[in-house]
Amino acid sequence: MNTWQGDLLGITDTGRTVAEVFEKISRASQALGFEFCAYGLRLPTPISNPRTMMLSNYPLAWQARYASQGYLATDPTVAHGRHSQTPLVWNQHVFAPTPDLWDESQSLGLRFGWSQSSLDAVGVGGMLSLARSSDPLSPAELISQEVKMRWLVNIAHLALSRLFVSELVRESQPDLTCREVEVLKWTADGKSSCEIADLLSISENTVNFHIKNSVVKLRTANRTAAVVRAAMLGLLN
Amino acid sequence: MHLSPDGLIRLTVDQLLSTPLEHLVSGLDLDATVHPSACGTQTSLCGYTEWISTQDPTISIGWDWYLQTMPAGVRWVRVGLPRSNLMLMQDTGSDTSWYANLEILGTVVDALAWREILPQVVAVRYA
Repeated sequence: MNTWQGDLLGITDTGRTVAEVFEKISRASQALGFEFCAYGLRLPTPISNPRTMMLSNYPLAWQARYASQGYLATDPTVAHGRHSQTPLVWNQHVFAPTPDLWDESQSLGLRFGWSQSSLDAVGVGGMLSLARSSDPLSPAELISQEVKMRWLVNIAHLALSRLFVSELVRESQPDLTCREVEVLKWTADGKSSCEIADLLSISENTVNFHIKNSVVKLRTANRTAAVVRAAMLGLLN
Repeated sequence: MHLSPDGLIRLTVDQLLSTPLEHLVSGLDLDATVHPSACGTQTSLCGYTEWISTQDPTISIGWDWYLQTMPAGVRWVRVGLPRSNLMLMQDTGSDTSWYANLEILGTVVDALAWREILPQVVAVRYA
């Protein structure tokens, strides 16, 4: 017999689409007793305005309301997830700073919920929320189910962050040469073009040539932004 | 769940998630300590931890971690893939590949409450 856990084993395989992966996560959340789930991912770039992606099977009215009101910026569960990976059970106290958000989500069936964030080594942050319209989360349910819920968060993050980041890398089409990566690594360590030229036994003009090419390939404005973007995409590892 | 002749314990993810695991040992990688060259430099801490099951056959999962300092505080980060005597089986009964096995075990490790207990464990051991 197939279990939801076994069903999730393959979601990190290559060749899956975001929609397929989220469908499996939704089915897993239902098996855990939650009719709704939402996954948000925050990429570390651009630094000034990190890109955010949202996937959810929440009621469409709530999705539209959440976007139009800009609730992402004030949602207390999101704020909690940015600085802590400890799970958060929704309640009125948690949402005290945003009573409108709480009242509206309650009225649309998102009455009881649980959220946890996950942050990987390259700075990609994700958060999974599980919600339902009836039955509060009891301490007994958390004792018996929370490890499974926490696992769902982590496997969802592994699969979806990989898909989104690879999409971002594809979009950027950096296709950096080994020499360009080498020059960017030294630049990331704070070396000047002159110093890198000495280190690699090439001319300063050649170093600047590699940096200019990297800036263009990474679609950035200058060498600093190129180094940051390459590092965030894991291209300097 | 069973111990195979190759020394690995074979079980499914749902069996693993239903098996209570408890903390066995944690420590710092003392040989990795970098002596600060000047006062005021950031401390770097890294170490290891191992969790086991309380039932036979004993499941063991170990992994390395480091303490990442961030503007808003510190974060305990797992480093690399775990080490274990487990082989996860698919619903069909076949083994997962070894790399996928460790990768999935990594997500199970991240689901354990190790970040919550490690600060206290390390503080007590090295007090």
